[in-house]
Amino acid sequence: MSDDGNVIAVAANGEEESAIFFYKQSTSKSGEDVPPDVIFYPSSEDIYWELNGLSMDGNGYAAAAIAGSYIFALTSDGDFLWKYYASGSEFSEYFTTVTVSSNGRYAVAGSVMPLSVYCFTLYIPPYGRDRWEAIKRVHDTEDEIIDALNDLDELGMSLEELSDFISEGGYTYPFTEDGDIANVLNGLYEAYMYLRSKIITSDIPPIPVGSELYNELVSEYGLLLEDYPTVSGRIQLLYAILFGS
Amino acid sequence: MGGTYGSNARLYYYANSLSREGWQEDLNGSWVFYSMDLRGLDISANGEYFALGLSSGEGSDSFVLFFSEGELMWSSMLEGY
Repeated sequence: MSDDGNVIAVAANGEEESAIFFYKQSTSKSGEDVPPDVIFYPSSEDIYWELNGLSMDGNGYAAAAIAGSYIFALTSDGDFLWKYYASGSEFSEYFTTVTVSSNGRYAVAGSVMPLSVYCFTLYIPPYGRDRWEAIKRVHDTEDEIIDALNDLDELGMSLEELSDFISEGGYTYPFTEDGDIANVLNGLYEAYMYLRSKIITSDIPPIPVGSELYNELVSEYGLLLEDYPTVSGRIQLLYAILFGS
Repeated sequence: MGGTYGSNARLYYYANSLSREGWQEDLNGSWVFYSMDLRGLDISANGEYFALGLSSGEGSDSFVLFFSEGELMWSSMLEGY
């Protein structure tokens, strides 16, 4: 389990095949028969031994597992990282225990016969070294489209009015009607499309004006979602409200 | 803490462990999972969440259970494992 409890890794052996299951956003799930989010089959990497141990780092990014003479590592997205086969000169070594450091840097595995301890680098965390670079990239990308939000804020129209303008006129992108409104709508549409190619990985369902979710959003974040904490998130929500349907 | 006794898995939940002293019998929760083996147990860093893995005595299915402060939030069946 990750430190925050959100990611759970489970190793399980079936009669025919072993698998590692990952559950994500565990603290937000509820109910019965919750399906795993990711399934990894060691056989996909030619590892056919029964799984005998599993450990995950505190961030929930990666895990190390042992299976017979193999130790291998994978991310919680199911991406295989590496494997190691412990072949002693006289014995086949069987790993009996594995533990991953909380920061994900190291995996330590031990075998009893012969008594051995191995230490591996689980992963070199891009999350530490490149974190600021990634944040800067997002920040720079969002800077490219911030004018679209500023123009919306300055227009002085509510989302309901803009939505009515679109639906009553039957307008679609590109908007060529009223100058200021068209500029704002074009700006928001293009901002979303830009982010869709850079940061946003998938569309969210439409959020019609007047729907329960819409009312909750404007109640929480303001009539133009101006208090929403991220630029990309605000643009995505505005797109779902104005253009989603 | 938990274990398998006989053919049943048992789980005992103690909250506020750091402020306890001496022999403690006042559990904050306990569960018996009949005809189950306890295969794994882990707890989040702040102790708010814990999860356990159970396998049916017949060994044909396994289950993952997730708890928040001692309340079951969700479960998952791994059919055939």
